[in-house]
Amino acid sequence: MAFSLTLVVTRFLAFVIKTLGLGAGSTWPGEIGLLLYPALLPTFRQRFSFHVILVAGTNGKTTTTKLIAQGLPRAFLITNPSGANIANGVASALISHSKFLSSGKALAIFEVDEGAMPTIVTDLQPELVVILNLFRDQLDRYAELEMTAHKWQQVLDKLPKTSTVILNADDPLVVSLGETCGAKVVYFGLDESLAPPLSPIHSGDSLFCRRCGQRLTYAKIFYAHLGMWSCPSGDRARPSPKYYCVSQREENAENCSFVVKSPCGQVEVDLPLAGLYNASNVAAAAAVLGEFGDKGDLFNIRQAWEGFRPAFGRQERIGQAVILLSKNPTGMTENLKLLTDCQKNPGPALFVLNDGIADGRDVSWIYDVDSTAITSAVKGRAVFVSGSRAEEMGLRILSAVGDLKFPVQIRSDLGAGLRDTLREVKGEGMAYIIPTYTAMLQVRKELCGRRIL
Amino acid sequence: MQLTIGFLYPNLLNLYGDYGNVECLVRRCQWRGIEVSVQEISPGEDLPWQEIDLLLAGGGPDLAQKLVAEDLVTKKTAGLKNYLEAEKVGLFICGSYQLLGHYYRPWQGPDLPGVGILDLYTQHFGLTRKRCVGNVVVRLNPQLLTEIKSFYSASCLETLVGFENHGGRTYLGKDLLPLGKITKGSGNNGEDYLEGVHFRNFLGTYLHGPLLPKNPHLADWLIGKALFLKYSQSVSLLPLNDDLAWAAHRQALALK
Repeated sequence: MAFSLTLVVTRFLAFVIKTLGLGAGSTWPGEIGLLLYPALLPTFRQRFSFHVILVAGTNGKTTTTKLIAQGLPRAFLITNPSGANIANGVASALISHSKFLSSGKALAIFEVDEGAMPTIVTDLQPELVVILNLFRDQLDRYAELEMTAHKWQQVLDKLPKTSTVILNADDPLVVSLGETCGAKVVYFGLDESLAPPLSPIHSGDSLFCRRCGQRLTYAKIFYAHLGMWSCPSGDRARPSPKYYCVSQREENAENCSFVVKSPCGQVEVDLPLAGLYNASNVAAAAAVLGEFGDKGDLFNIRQAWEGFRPAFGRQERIGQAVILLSKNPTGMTENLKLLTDCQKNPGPALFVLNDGIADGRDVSWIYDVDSTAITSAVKGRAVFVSGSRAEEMGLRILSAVGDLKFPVQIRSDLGAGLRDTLREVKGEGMAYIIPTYTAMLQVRKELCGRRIL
Repeated sequence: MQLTIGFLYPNLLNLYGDYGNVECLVRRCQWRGIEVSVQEISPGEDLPWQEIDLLLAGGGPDLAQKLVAEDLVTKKTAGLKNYLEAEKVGLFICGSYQLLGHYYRPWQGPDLPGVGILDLYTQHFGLTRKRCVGNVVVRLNPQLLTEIKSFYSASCLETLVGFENHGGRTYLGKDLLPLGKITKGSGNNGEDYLEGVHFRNFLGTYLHGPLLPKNPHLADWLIGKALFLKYSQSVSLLPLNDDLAWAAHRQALALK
């Protein structure tokens, strides 16, 4: 089928899906479009003049994409806020905004899935790619981390000189991706003052030099394998970031204030985003604004980010529940640290562990979550577990805590689990929901009637 | 009583929650008042074979696998052979299980030698055969099951449950016993319905990562057998409340 006819058909399909309330139309139009016209994405790129920014990495994609989109207030902005981040999601977004594309001034900002990243980068030839981090996540799907890194490096190497690749200086594996890249490479990161007192790496995924195989040494560790690293043989070390977060301070129960340094001065912003991983996301977003936007964009972020709401399921508050999506060891460990920080007001916690395709069928990863983080987070709280692998999660908690009598309450029915958890909230306190991906969608459905947006 | 667990290459072979097995053994000892310590051994470090009562090793990504193979084959083959011959207790999972055999034959390139202590080999058929990924149920070999029941006093199921994820396929020599028979999943090679290996008191398996928490009978066999060998006296392990472990086990039996 011809490209223009494919567009007509799929736009009509998107219209039908939305009008009949069959869904958000964030995947099917693209899916059908790619079926009818496999070269859909590259053809979009050839037929229309628009800019493309891609956000990749294991954790923080949705939040960072939202920050970038809100920080670049353009008239013709196209994005995938529902997290539909494989080719069909990107194609659906382009299809339903094809009117924007005709303007010749559209800006597309997409988060891209780890597995889909190589194809989407090749097809869309982005002006800018930002890579947040690489952690182990769903290894039953993407095989090993090294393999993902290898594929990413291959496509980044092929980007033209005019493109910009923004990399996390704190992640040695991510930094290595830029070492053979022909495009302009810019780094973001965290200031060393943000590192917590040195603790041994638990869930370090990239502890060895990719060039010589020696074990990397760390002067400071931010979290997981992110930190001030260098190879003892002297051939690689953390590059100095051009954009970096120098402070993150809790303003009140909801907001944190961040200070980001850049070559053209420092900016201060308030955002409802807690946790060191979000300081990293904020630095990444600032780097994109600094490199891609006009000079004004970086200095207007305070206004642009005012009223920013967390992305769905990512520290999102619904009533007295806060949802902390935790889909891999690093994510869960870091989210559990947030609970520990709120020990003054130990609200109940509900872990929801599913083993759907989108969660990864293999739940072994819960044993890579830091045991100390689990123990500090659950002690002194009412703890519930639910999800298709509730018992596994319960067993994991007992193993970490080291007490067979620790009261973990199993609720096979999620609705009952949520009700019982919320019943434990006292006064103005909060309940902490720690779900995997599909579990997060179910939790949202229960709490606000919608799975995504 | 006291046990020393040796954990080989914890920084390299820890792809799928392998530390969960160590934690499980440590907890089950602590809950019974058995003193327990863990010795982590990295490449290049000597392994104090005499001090180790229970040896564990996990699986790792390709790069780590190469570093490990080099160290294990060149520096630890003799020690490991003596350890196995002395009937001491061990559990090698996935990548380290493969290394116990004669060789690993990759899709392309030369064979990678193993320690050659057990009569088995592993072959990767490249893209011609699907990777073995998914939930696994194993019916324990009767000999091992009898052994297990002598240490696990409560009633237990006769299965092992876990998850496998491997490209290499392992073939046992005719005199080797498997850990058990596959009733779900691929196991060693997806052809002969066998899973793992059981040689004296040493086990190899593809059931990766946190195998022991939801297979408490196997965990107790490792502990009980190690204590029995160390103290040369009959061991009766205090029963623990394993309700949640068996609930997780039953849940895994029902998985697709």
